[in-house]
Amino acid sequence: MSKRICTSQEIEQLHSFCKKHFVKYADVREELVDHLASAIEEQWENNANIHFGKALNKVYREFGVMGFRNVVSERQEVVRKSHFNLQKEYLLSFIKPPQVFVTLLIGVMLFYAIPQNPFLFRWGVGTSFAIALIFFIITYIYFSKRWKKQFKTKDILILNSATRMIAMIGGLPSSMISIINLSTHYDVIPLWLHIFTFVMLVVLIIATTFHFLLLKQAEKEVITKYPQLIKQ
Amino acid sequence: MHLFLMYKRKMYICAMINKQLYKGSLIPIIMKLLKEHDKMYGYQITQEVKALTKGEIQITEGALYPTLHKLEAEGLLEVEVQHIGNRMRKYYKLTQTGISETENRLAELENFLSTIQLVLKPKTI
Repeated sequence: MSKRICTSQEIEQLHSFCKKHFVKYADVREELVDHLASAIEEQWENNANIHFGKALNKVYREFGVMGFRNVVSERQEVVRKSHFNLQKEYLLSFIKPPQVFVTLLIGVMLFYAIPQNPFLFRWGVGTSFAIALIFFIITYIYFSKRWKKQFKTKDILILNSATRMIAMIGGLPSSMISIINLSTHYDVIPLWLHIFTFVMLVVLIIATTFHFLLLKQAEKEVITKYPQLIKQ
Repeated sequence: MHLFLMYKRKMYICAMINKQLYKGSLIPIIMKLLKEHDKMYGYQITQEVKALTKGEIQITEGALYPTLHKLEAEGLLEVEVQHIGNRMRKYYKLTQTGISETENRLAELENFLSTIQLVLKPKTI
């Protein structure tokens, strides 16, 4: 007698079951679905007539009172940490003598190029921040649209976690306003404010670049690890 | 009825103690299994532990996956996904760091067990 295995319809039922039990992300669900299916199939090895629903309930009980919640929260933490480590790697690869030298050189050049006039300084700051902000938003929209076309669902933890960097945008207008407010106290922009503004801009450019690289890497990870989530 | 409730409570306490006893050794157990098997998936680990310990230790799924994910975040495990019929299967395997860390964790566990022995059987050691 051939071994009874879960049909595609039953696998779909397992996905729905996980969704109903708060496993929103498709990539997290995959592992749980395989676990549930393996455990059900083992029950069928002893008795192939056990009802699918009954076998499923038995397996689910083994997850304890918290159900899938611990599994989901720990998975979120893993993805968050891996993205944090990735950003750390990007940063370490950036902090090397040639890059640091070029950045400082640009800073000195900008100091002489940017007018000392407070009005023109404020205009320069506003424009630079606005460009960075627009680039940040365009990157986000570009990837969101691309993923909508490329993947079967938008609920993928790896992608969701990577896009959380977009929250950094919230800090942009306030730092820009602080710099502009500070500049109103002076007739000639002091050196420290030039340095502060430059540091802020470097951080902004790095964050924008990392945001782009992180989204690209997250997309690559989903394609490699979860090919079944790609639209045919 | 009263006796039944007392028995039930005693069984519950025993189960809790067992759970607490193996909780600390869960990571070395998983790492040792992975070292011996090259790669394993979640359900396979639970079954292997159950078989090896003749059912004495049963890793709950609620404890297994968070532990596996934690080890993955620490860079001790890496993941490989394979198509198994109509579903995906996620295999875990030790990284190079994981392999050397397994030795440390097992040595730590063995040290701990020897220390416990000193307390439990002071004359025989």
